[in-house]
Amino acid sequence: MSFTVKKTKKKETSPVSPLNKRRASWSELWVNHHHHLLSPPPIAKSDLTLLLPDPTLLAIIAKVPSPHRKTLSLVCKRWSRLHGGLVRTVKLSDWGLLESGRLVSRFPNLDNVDLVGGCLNSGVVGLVSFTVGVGSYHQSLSFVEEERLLLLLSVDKVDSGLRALAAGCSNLRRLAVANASELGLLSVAEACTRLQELELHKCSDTVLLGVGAFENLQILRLVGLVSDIGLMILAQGCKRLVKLELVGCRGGFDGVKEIGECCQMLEEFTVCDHEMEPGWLGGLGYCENLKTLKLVSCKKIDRGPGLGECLSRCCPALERLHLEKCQLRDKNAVKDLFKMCEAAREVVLHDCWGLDNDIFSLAMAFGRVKLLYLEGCSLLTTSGLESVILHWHELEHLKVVSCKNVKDSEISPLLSALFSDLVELQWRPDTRSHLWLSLAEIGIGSKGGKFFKKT
Amino acid sequence: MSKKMIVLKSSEGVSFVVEEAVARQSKIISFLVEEFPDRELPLTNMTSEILRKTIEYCKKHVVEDDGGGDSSSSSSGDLKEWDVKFVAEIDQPRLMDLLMAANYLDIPSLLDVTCQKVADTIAACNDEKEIRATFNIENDFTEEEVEAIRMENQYPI
Repeated sequence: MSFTVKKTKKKETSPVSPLNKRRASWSELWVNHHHHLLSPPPIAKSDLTLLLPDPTLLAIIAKVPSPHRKTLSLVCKRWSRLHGGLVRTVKLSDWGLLESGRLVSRFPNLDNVDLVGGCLNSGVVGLVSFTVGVGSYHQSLSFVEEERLLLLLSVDKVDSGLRALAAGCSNLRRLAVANASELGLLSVAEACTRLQELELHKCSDTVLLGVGAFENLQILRLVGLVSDIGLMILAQGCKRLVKLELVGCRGGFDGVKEIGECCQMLEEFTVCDHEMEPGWLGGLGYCENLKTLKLVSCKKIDRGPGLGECLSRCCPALERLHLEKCQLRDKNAVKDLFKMCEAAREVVLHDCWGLDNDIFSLAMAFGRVKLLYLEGCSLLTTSGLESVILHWHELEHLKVVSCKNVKDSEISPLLSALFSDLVELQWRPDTRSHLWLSLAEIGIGSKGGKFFKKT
Repeated sequence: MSKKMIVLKSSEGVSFVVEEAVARQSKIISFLVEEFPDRELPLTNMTSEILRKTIEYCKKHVVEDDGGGDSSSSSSGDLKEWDVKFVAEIDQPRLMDLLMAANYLDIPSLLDVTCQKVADTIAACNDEKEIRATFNIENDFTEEEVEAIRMENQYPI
């Protein structure tokens, strides 16, 4: 019934065709002739994948878990080509591969390229560890110092590699490179307009002239001798910056202030192993939308004699202060820092030196802390911790890990009452602690107090 | 009310009569049924065995419009389990044929489960030699090319 209706409809829509004879459509051809076009697959010992079209084989390869994927490139040329197209991220240590154009022809769809390892002359790689600004002081040779030990590729060679990369990878979103010049960066910026994230090692002020050309740059990590001038160039050029990390950089109040005033979207600012001038901290007050401040591996917070009048400003939007592997012995500097970050809702103190009860008591400057995470702060005692967190009425999350002077046995009834009100508690001050539990996990919530009585 | 049936013919000339709703899971058949409502559709590149398997899959996955809750409308968890069992029982060459059939007839869900099974088979191979042996793929690389690729393969993460 429905069938006849359909037929009449069709006649109406195509009045040109004769009544019972329609023009041969492709589908008619398909029905009548497709057995000529698509012969049945040859049986027996034939390649089972040969008949699969590229997109289908690609769909299969994409379903193979990535640890197994590299093997696929060795199967045959076709698989190798398909595999290469799926690769998005490379960490290169052979500059020749980049310069020859082989890297971009083998992996044409790269969007994340780390060339830092490749910028070192191959002969010396492995002799010196390449960690910068992480770990304890003993390891944290700045890149500038390492440079004396390592032979970096010449600027010209790095730039020519960058041009080869730019020619083949217009989809690039992230790039990490060392010893590039502003010209090399410009060639990348021209070709890769979607680049969002840049990491520059052995960076200097002039190199930053090239960085402004990346229109969509949001995340920038600089390692090297950048001064106030560089920070100002950066501030003028990269107004859309969201995250900035300075490793081993110089610069001071003016540069940081300029960044704060020009980069209105800056949300995360990280300073590692810095050589900043006294008073730099004051510039942070101009970062009006800064949400996260991180200091990592800093031998000092600020060498200045105290910020004084600069401290009339603090970071108004700050939500999170993260201090890791920092020396916190200088009471004035810590006081200034905490004052600057008084709006913080989350405070993370990770392997910081010199954080005794006295220094930690400065944390009372934070009025509205919701989350406190302490790890590896061995000078702090239970009473030091208690005296501060009892003041934080909005505290909801507390993690105390590997702080050996915080002891289960010293938990007072007040503290235990506070624990029972928390949304989340991770309590592992040392390996022997019996209170290794999280309230959220076991869902005891209101009855938490019982758990903290020593048995 | 009788359901509309259509006829599919395999390469051996065997005819399969299936409900239209079942066959319409193939986008190609769905299209052809509209164009040629009363013709049997010759699928000359599909053997009876593969066609039977394909129909078996489509029958299990057909979504019933009327009387809900009867045999063919299984819960999605059961269906997944059934799919896994379904492809597990098929040997490699036939699995590839079934995958081709799913691709050719444009049945996305069947293509997905067969591709997944092939991907799992590939992942289970220890090296490229085993993959080549499993799928009868010819090695068209020279020694130097293999070396170059191995060298380049250390860079992707």
